[in-house]
Parts: sequence; C-alpha cells; structure tokens
Amino acid sequence: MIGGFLIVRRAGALWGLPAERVSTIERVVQEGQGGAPGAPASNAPGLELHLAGGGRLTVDAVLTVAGNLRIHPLSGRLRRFLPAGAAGLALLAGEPLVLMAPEGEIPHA
Amino acid sequence: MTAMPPPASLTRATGTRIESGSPVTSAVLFAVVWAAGGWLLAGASRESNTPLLALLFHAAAVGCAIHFLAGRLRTHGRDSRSGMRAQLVEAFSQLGDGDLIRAGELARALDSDLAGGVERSVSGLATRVEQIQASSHAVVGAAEGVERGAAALAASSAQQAAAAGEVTAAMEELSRTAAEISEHAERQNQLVLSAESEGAGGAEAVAEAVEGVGAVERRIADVTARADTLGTRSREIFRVLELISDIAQETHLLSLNAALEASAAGDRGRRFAVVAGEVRILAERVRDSVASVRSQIEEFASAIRSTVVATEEGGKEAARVLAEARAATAALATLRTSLRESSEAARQIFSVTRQQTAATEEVLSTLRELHQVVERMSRDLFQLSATSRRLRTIGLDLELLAQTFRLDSPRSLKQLVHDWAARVPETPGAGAQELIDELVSCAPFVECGCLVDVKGRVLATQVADELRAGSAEALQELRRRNLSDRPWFRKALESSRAVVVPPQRSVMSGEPCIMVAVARRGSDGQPIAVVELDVNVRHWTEIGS
Amino acid sequence: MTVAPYLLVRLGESLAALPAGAVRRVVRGTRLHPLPGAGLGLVGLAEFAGEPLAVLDLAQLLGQEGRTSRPPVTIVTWLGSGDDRELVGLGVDEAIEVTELDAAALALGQALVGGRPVIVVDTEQLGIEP
Repeated sequence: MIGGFLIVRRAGALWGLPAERVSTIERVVQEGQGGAPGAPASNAPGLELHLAGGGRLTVDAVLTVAGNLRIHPLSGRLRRFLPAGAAGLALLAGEPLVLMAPEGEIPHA
Repeated sequence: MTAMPPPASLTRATGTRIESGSPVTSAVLFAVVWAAGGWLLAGASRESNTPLLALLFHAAAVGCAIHFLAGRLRTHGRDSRSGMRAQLVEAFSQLGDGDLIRAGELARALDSDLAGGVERSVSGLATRVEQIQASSHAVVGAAEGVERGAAALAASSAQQAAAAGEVTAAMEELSRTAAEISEHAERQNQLVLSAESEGAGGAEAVAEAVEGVGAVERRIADVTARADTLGTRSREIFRVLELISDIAQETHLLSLNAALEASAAGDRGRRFAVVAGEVRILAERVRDSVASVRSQIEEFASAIRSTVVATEEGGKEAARVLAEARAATAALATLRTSLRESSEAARQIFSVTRQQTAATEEVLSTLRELHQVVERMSRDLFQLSATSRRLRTIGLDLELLAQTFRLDSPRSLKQLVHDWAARVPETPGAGAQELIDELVSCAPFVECGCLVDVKGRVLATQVADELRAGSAEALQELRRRNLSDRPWFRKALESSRAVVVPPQRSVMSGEPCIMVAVARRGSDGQPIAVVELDVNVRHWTEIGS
Repeated sequence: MTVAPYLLVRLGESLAALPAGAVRRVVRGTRLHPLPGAGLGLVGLAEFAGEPLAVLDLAQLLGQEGRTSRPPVTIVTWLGSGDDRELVGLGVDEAIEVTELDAAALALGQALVGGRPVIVVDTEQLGIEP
C-alpha cells in the first residue's frame, strides 16, 4: 500500500496509520466473524496488523484507507496532550481521528 | 267327694214329718198358694226371679196338698177298711218320701174310685214335679249362662276400663306435652320477634356503615385518581420544564455568542451587545423560574406521592372494612331470614299445638265420661254376677229338691241310679267293671261311677273319658279306699231309696258335682252292693236345654 | 481607563475570564471522543465547523486539581497568536456572561467581579510550557 492512511479503530478511538507502515492485516481468530481486510465498519475483534519493520498491532477494526485526508498538523501546544507519535488530526465522516507519524506508536487503551 | 252339710231348705223339704191339720185350713192354704204360684208363673219374664218364686210356690202348694191329703187320709184311715187304709197310708207315705213310682204302684192296687183319685193326684204331682225339675234345670242352666256372660262382660269391661284408663293416661300425658310445647313455642316466638326487631335495627346500622364506607371508598378512589392525574401532570410539567430549561440554556449560549460577536464588532456591535445582554438576562430569569417551578413541583409531587401512599393504605383499609361490612350484612341477612323462618315455624307450632290441645281436651273429656260409664257398668256387672250366682244356688237347691222325687223321667237322677243298680248282677265281681265302664260312658254328665260292696270296698270304678288322663292317681286311691264310713253309703244301705248329696267340688274336675247313690238289693231284700254316681252339675244342667 | 470584554466562566467554584476577542463560540453538548493514552489535560477530540478540535480542560490548564467529570460546556477559543494561532476547545462548567474588565486585568492575571476573584486567562500563552 502506498500513500494514504489506514484508518483503524482501537480502544474506542479512530487512528490513522500511514499505509506504508502496514504490510499485512491478518485476522486473529478469537470470536465472531468478520469481513475481509479493509471492509469498513467491521466490528470483528482480533485483527492484527503486521507492521513494516516488525511489530504487530492489534486493532478492533479497520475502517478504510483514506487518501484525501485534510491533515491538521499538531501544534507544539497540543503535541504535549496527545500521545507520542501523533502527527496531526483529521476528520473522517464527522469523527475526529489522530494521525500517527510513520514511526509513531499507537498507544494502547 | 267330701261330705258337706246339706242346706237348710233341703232339710226342711225332706225332713218334715207329715202332720195332720184342719182340712179346711189346708184346702184354703193350698188353693191360695197354688193360685199365687200359677199367677206368678203366668206373668213371669225370663230375666227375673219370678219363675223361681213361682216354682217355690208350686212346691209349697205340693207340700200343702200332701199335708192336706195325708190329714184327710189319716182321718179316713180310722175307717173299718183297715187293709185298704193301710195300703193308702203306705201309698201316701211313699208319696211323702218322694217315691212317686212306688206310690203310684200302691195306689193302683187300691179299689177303683180311690185308686183313680189317688192315681190322678200322684200323676198330677209327678207332672208338676217333672215341670219343677225341668224348670229348675233350666234356671240353673240360665243362671250359669248369665253368670258366665256376666263374668265375661265383667272381665271385658274391666279390660275396657283398664284400656280406657291407659288411653286416658296417655291422652293426659299428650295434653301436658302439647301444653308444654305450646308454651315453649310461644316463648320462642316472643324471643324471635324481639330478636327480629333488634336484627332489623342492626341490619340498618350495618347498611348505613356499609354505605358510609362505600362513600369513603369512592372518595378515596377519587383522590387516588386525582393524585394519579396530578402525578401525570407533574411529569408532563417536568418534561415541559426540561424543555424550557434546555431552551433557556440555548438562549443563554446564544446570548453569549451574540455578545462575543458584538464585542468583536466593536462599537458597531454595542447595541447588539445590549440586546444580547437582555436576552441573556431573560434566559437566566427563565432558568431561575424553571428551577423554582421545578423545586415546587418536586415538593408537590412528593406530597402527592405520600398522600397517594397514605390514601392507598387508607383505600386498602377502607376496602377491607367494606368487605367486612358486606360480609356482616350478608350474615345479618341470613340471620334475619333464619329468624323469620324460625318465627314462622314457632307460630305454626303454637297454632297447631293449641288446636291439638283443644282436640285433646275433647278426647280426654269423652274418655273420662267413658271411664265413668265403664265403671258403672263394671259395678252393675259385678252385682249381676252376684245375683246370677245366688240365682244359680237357688236353682241348684231347687234341682236337688226336685231330685228328691223319684220319677219315671230321664231327668230323675234317682230313677237313673235305680235303673243302673238294677243291672248289677246278684253276684257282682265279674263283669262289674264292664258295667261301670258302660254306665259311665253312656252318661256324659257322670264324672265318676262306683260299685261298692256292702262292706264298703270299691268293687269297680270309672271316670268320664275326658277326666281319665288326669285322674289316674285319684282313681287308684279310690279303689283302695273303704267307703263304709261315708254317710251316704250308710244311708243307701239303710234305705230302699236313692240318696242325693248336695253339690260339692269334685276332686277330679274341680266343678260342682251331685252324688247319687242307691243300694242294689237282692230278691231277699238284702243289699248286695251300692251304686254311686258323681254327677257334674254343669253337664247335667246342659242336657235338654 | 480602558476596559475590554471578557467571557466569564465557572470552573467548579472558581471563576475565570477569557478575552472575548479570543472566544470563537460557546458550545454545549458537543460530542467528545476521549482519547486513550492522552495527557490529563485533554478531555477528548471533537468536531467544530468541519474541523477536528482538541478539547482541553481549562481547570487543569490553570493548575486546578480534582476534576472528576467531563466539563459540559466547551469554549471554542483561539489560543496563541499570529500564525501560531489555533482553535482549541476549552472545557468549562458554565459560561456565565460577557462582561467588561479593566484592560490591566490581563497583565495582573486576575480581577474582581462582583467581589469575587476571577482568574484572567491569557489565551496567547495558555498551554505553552514555560
């Protein structure tokens, strides 16, 4: 995947990961069923993102890959209050989300 | 066969010596007595003693006749025809002894005109005596019949009296009981009437209470409904207040934002800022009012809630009271119905027992009358019984008197025993038992027959068929006994006439029996044996009736 | 003496004043999305006029402690100045009124309104670590 952000939901909030950071999305079977990776508004728990450079990230859902997000870069002021690795804010379908920098860690719940 | 002193009348009748008297006096006496007797006999009715009197008069007349004739003839006997006279005297002597047969025989041996006269007298006498015998027979029979009838009547009237007495007692008991029941029913009725009136009052009171409780209940229901309505309204009001509150808040924000814009607009926004301020104030006032109203309504709702709770409690209580009152009313109604029914029943009982009492009184009164009648009847019967017994005794006396005459008549016991004695052979012994058996069996009125030798030893004896079963012992005893000391035995031996012993109670049958005995004489005139009969008076008197 | 308009707000028991010029809008009942792992001053993320809005807790920023519930009113405020200006939501308990305060109050950092002390907030400096 090149460009865009992978929008995921994790711990009740929306996050945007640079698409190139994610190599694969794997379903981790725990309970319930889900759709194919990339299916929007899927509530199936147990999705695992395989990140480039190693590392895994478990997310609740993968909503979409958004390419045309209007990015609001974080000011120094706000950077203090947001998780490390957050690069900016955006809005997807009326819901605010935090965009992670390419090397930023999405914090746990 | 125990001896009994003969009655006085018999002594007079048989022991009188024939004495001579004035012929004129005798004739007049005879005529008067005979006439009186004839008159009484003609006018006699069956139920009175007059037949007896008539017979007595006749007998007296006969005595007088004999008296007269004997006198006359004794006078005549002084005549020279001494042989004829002696025969005549002998004939009348026989007549005087009652042996009319012998007298007749002797009379027939006299010369013709005397014989005729004497014979006529004898036969006339025989006829009269026969009549007397027949009548006395009838009298005794009738007297016995009357006595039996009277006894039966007395017994049944005694029973009736007893039964009537029992019925009376029962009726009196019934009457008392009915009176008690009546009294009781009356008391019951009174109680019921008073209870009924009280019950009516009680029922009214309960009905009022029920009505009152019902009204309370309705009011409570009313209140509860209103409280419900109020509750609903409060909730509505709260919602409205919420709405107003929200609007007030929004208005407030609006005023703030407007003020901010106005401030950004600088001087030009000043008037706008004033308006925004007023709007804000308005919004605040609305907010305060809402708060106030809300708190008031909260208080009100709380009060309503507690009222509703209390009312509901009260309502429950009222419902319970109502239910109880209704139950009480139902119970009272049942009680009143029962009381009415009971009262009605008591009234009916009272009425019926009163009727009963009246009827019972009537019955009792009738019974008492009946009782008195029965008692009188009982006394009358008792008297009648006594009278009939006397009658019977007189009848028997007469019978015996008649039996002193030996007649050629089946009614003459003396003749009967003479006939039987005649059949005894010169040497009794063999055949004696058969003879006695035959004699006893052919005479149903003979209870017992005996053949006794001159020494008093019983040669043969037999009792009537019906007595044979119970008399074996007595017979055995009799056979062993020696009767030589018996007066009738001695008299029979002495005399050529039959002896009649007045009635005594028989050992065999327990009934009165006449003893008749005669000596059988041989051709030499010496006694060979004595024939004795026990004649049952009742059976004897039943013959020919 | 010059006065300037300030928006008076309540934070718990205390009052604060924000320069009216810095306040874009007062909003209430806006949807706040909490962010896990965020700093204590961040109430959450919201949306305002088609843009994402970070909402900070004003009481927290002012150093007040003991905040328990989410502030119901959000003051959409310009923080910073010049090119550095950014819209940030400030969570407060109540927005009271727009009132005028002495211009010097800002420098003082506090004022008296109706006898009560009011913290005057310098929105240009707010949130900047010294």
